[in-house]
Amino acid sequence: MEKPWEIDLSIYDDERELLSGLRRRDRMACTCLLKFYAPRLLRLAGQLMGDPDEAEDVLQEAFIRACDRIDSFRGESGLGTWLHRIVINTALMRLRARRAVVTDDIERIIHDEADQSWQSLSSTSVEPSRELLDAELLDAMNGAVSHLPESLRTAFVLRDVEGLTTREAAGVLGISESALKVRLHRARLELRQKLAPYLQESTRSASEHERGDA
Amino acid sequence: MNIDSPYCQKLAELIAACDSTDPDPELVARIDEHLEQCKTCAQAESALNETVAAYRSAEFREISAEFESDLVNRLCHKAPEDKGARD
Repeated sequence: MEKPWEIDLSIYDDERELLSGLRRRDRMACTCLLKFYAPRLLRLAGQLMGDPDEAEDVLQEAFIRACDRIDSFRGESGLGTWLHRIVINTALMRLRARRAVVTDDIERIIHDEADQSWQSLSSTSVEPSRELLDAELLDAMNGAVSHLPESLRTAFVLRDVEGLTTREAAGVLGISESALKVRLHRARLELRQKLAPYLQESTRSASEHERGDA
Repeated sequence: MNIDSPYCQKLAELIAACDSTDPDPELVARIDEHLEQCKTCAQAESALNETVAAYRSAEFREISAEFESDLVNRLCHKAPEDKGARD
């Protein structure tokens, strides 16, 4: 059996060739598709879902949906953009299905509960070392992002993490640019609140470092 | 540079005044203006940006060979369907 890692990925460097291969269900094309896009999309799915196991399920479902519909892909957007959108839609569908009812109030209740557990967690942190702080901070960031309400998390991940423009992120989410900006501001303010002990420590360390250099 | 709290009540109020689905662009512009002028926000946003940059540059999680092989099998053996999806 052909080993995926022995495949020459350059065969499908050209997107039109890759699409043609995918339409033929060519094994090498399918492997290249995963090699090119899966790691990035898996991270995206993980950030959107806030759960690594569910991220793999989302990724699998998204690639299957994409290949099912590859004949109707007209190339008006790039393949990567299209896959991004499918991953996002798949993740959002799963997030919605996870809850019986989705309302802002329920999101707020869930979020407030997360806040309380967060505060009790962060209050145990006492003057961590710089290295520990960095590692803790990334863990804290992961936790904080995964606890953001879905609408804020998707805006934050697409705009700030994935680096889409405001217009692109708004387009993917099907909302206005102003609405995207508001969601992003809300997300960032909540992150500032949740990461407060770390951000304060971070600015303090930077300040001490500056004073030491002077 | 030190901050008592990265949370800014004024910013919170401005954001809360915005409608989620159809916000007034003027209010959104006031938020941007506040972020440019408020010292607390400037420090907190700068610290948050550093954290986001570190979070963004965290390595991609590799997919396992088993997962990849299984998915490739499913993709290349699946019969194409026309479900009318458009890009």
